[in-house]
Amino acid sequence: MILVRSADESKSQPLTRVAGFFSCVNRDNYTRSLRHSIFKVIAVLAGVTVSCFLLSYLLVLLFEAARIYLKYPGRNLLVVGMLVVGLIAHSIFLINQFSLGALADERPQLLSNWFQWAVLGAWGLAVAGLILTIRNPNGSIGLFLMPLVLTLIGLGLLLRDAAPFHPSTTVNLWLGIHGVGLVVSTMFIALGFAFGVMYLVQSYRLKTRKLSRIRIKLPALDFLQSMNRLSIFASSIGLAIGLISGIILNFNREGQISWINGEIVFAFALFAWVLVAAILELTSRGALGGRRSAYLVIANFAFMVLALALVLYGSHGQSAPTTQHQPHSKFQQPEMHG
Amino acid sequence: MHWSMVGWSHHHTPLDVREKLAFSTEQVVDVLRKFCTQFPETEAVLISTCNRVELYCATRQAEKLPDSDDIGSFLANYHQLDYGDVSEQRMAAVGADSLKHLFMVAASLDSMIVGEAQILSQVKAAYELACQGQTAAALMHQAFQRATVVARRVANETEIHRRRISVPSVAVSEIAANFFERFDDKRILLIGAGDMGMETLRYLIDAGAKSIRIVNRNSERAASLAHQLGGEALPWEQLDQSLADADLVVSTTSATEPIMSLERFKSIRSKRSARAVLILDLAVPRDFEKAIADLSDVYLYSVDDLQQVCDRNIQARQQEWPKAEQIVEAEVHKFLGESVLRGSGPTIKKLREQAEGIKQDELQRLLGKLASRGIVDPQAIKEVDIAFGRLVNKLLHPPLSALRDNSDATHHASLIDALRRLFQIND
Repeated sequence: MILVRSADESKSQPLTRVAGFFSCVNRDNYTRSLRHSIFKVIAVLAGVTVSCFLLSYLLVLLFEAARIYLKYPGRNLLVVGMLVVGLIAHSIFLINQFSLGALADERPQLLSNWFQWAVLGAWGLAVAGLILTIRNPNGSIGLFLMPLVLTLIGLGLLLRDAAPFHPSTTVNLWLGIHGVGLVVSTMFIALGFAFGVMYLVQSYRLKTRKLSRIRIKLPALDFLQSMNRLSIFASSIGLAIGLISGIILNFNREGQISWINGEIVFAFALFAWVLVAAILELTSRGALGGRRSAYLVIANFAFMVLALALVLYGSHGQSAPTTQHQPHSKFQQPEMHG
Repeated sequence: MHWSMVGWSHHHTPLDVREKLAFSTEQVVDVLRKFCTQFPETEAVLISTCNRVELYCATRQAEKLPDSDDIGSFLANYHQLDYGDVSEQRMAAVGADSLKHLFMVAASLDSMIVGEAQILSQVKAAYELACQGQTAAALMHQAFQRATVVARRVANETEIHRRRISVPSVAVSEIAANFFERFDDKRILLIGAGDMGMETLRYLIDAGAKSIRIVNRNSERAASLAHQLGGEALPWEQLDQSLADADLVVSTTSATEPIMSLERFKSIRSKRSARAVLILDLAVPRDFEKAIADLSDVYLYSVDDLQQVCDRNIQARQQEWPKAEQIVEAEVHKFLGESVLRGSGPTIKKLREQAEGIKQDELQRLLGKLASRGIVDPQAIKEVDIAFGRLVNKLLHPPLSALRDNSDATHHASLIDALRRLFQIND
């Protein structure tokens, strides 16, 4: 029997259920001390909440902002350290959300709701932030990236009580590809936005010869431009994969797709725009130089925010409200496009 | 420990005099050997650069330290110069002042261009030369090692060394580095073959630049420079095509009118892809028309723009100077305290040996008496030995603590003297 997880249930920590799972495992195979150690580890892991990594990322942002006004020793180490701490907590939280649920006799709930989608997207951005901060220790990248990470987490928290996308807990390849494709494209569009803004700031500073007057340090202009290009191409590929897998998913389940649905139309419009941006980036020989890429990635982001707002305003991918623990099969309720 | 310094520097001595007093590497080794022969028991290091000639001396006994005029005349005589002609420009420092001067020199606070990085390696090289000639030993080792530490502290804890102050270095480290992450894959074009352009190219090569093209009206000069710097010389007629290909342009011609008008540049620009270009126009008057800077994908810097950055950096360095001087003074104080403590080591050692001798004598006498009365318990003997040791340590603790806590040279010397008299310690 398959259960639909209610909003409250989706908030509970699967790790606590994993603890129960271990207590039921054949006692002859595990020594008492080993079980005790496992319980202790699980108890610690289960204690990791959104607040842990949210606070770490907030501190990273504060440290980065403090650089503008203060010179303090070890600031790079502090930023990287806090980012690592946040990512460890974030990763444990995600493992708890996605993987260990299976150990508690449940199927993996990969990207089954808005909350998971936003938290995974934020994780990807934070990983990118860590890599880029290590690569450009004085680049103040966190100052531009952390607000996006925090916004995504905040969005996830806001939508924590929203019903999951799919009432089914069965593993579906196309569903996974669809979700991952969309998360990846979101990540790259958000990254592109951060780098686009950084490019415009750096370009302005170089143009107006205000480099040494403004104390903020940014990566080199050509690096920012290459990141903008990467973001344009990667997000269009991610979006294409997400859309194609979404179409296949709906055809497989329902045999049709409602093409005139407003959200789907807008999703395709977003894809079309991102595709045009990628083609423009590849072919155009305009006079704007790297600034054109920066404008394109910022436009991508604006489009995405609009698409998200429309999707959230509508009921895209969400199941109809269900009663807690109410049993039903995946065929009882029409699958929404995810 | 006693230190002194005698020398001539850019502060008071003109270049022509400094040139006469300068020493080559071979001469440094020779003059140090002769100096230490004339003044035995003296350690010596000679720093000779284009901006200074300074001889540092150190001895363990004050009376062995040569007089400033003796050192000055020795150095002048080596070059067959009349000491009277150069004595007025001579500077001299003794004790803490000489150490402070050494630390200031090593930290590049006494340099003509404050914060220039070359001086530290020159100071190190001078010390190594002295070591090779065996004219530097423990005292100089301590002083020069600390000088390196001070230089690093000043470099790390202040912004003095971080801010460049020459136009070519600012152009590369503060402008080009904010534009390009790496230079090895960038096409660099030098227009003209002036000194400024050459120096800028050197900085770019240090930063990793590999693809360098040089366009000059005088093709021979361009070829010579290209050969020198590992670049490619192109005829003047290929200027437009080279500009269309370039990522970074350094222009330093001596033309009296701009060589690149807005219209001409616009036609070149149409041949470029959407790549932005950085132009460092280091020529006076300008090589590129000012209006070119208004094009959205062109970042044009003139000498005036770069000079403004240099001026701001010079100002910033000056603001950092007091902080750097504080570091030097703190290090001098610390160094003197440590060397005073090191100097009192033999006295303390003798005091401890003397106390240990008395302890052993008294212990043996007591043990003899106890043995004659039949008390030979090994545990009791061990306890008595420990008690005697503790007694000696407790008696010595206050005077030794006082010595440690008063590392100020004058105070410390009188305490050492008192200790020797009170405990009758003889050298």
